[in-house]
Amino acid sequence: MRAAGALWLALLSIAAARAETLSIEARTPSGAPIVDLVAALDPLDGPPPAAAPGAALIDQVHKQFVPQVSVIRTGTAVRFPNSDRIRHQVYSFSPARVFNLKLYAGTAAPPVIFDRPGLVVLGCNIHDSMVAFVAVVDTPYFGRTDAGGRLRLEAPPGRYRLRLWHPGLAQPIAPRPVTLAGEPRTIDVQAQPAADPSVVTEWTD
Amino acid sequence: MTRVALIIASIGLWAAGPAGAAPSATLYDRLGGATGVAAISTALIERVAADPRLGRSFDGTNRRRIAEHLAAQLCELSGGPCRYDGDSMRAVHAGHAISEAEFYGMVEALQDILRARGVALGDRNRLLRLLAPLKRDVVDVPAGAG
Repeated sequence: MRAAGALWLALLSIAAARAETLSIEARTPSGAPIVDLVAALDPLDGPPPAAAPGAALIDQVHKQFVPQVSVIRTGTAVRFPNSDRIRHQVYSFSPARVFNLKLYAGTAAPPVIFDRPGLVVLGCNIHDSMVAFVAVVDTPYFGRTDAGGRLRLEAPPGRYRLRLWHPGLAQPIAPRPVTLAGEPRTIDVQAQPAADPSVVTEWTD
Repeated sequence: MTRVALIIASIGLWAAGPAGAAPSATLYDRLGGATGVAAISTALIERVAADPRLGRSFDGTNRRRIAEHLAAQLCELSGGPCRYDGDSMRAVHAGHAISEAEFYGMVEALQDILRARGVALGDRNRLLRLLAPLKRDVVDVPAGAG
């Protein structure tokens, strides 16, 4: 009985340690890669594992935010270092995190903590052309596609809700259930870019 | 009641008439008050932003906001009822590497706009005198200064 219990525990810990791989490849109908598509796996079998608050960075370079799309976990502290020689003034009116932060060259501004999940749209009061998006998710399993439209996520076996989002889509992508169990999964995503670049794709919490 | 209101209104008119023309009116009033100062500011920012010799610092900027901040400063400087509460001119221009030529290019554009609006020579010079000390906070301000 004791031996069986120990074996069961050992199996459990192996299962917990084992990471399943989910590959995503995102393309437009004409076959062009979709860069900066955000993907997040929300666990459906229980709460997401706790983690120490993370840190992230969104820079200001030549009057642009770099990166323009970020995905971070709830509680992450984001620094805005401002690599330009001129000042910026970052703001958000998004309900998930409203703030206004003055950035001067050579002076470190305090980080902004994104403590609620949701989509945060950033702008600069001084420079209209600057825009960035921060997807705040309450899961450690997330990422965004690279220049080839590809992304690999790793997560323990189990059932998940997969959320996919990109700021400039004609239609939002509906979340879908995904079960990770023992074999690598690949998901091909096809989405149409928005005709009007000023409209931001709807975000699903 | 109506009669009282009428009397008050006519007293108001009577008082406003002579006072508006009196030499004691502020430079702000003679620039056209809030409307005039807003129009001057908008015209100035639009003109310099569109000028290939002067426009580079305004690339990608929110020009409406800059014009509003400029209007608040012109209003305050010329004796109007405003308080500019934005960043210091030094912080605003830090790191932009504004040259003297660019500074004087903007002054020239302002002169043109004031002239076109019929602002008298004396008042044009009064306004420029008030703006002149800003030059040290605009030209060649090192990055991070404020």
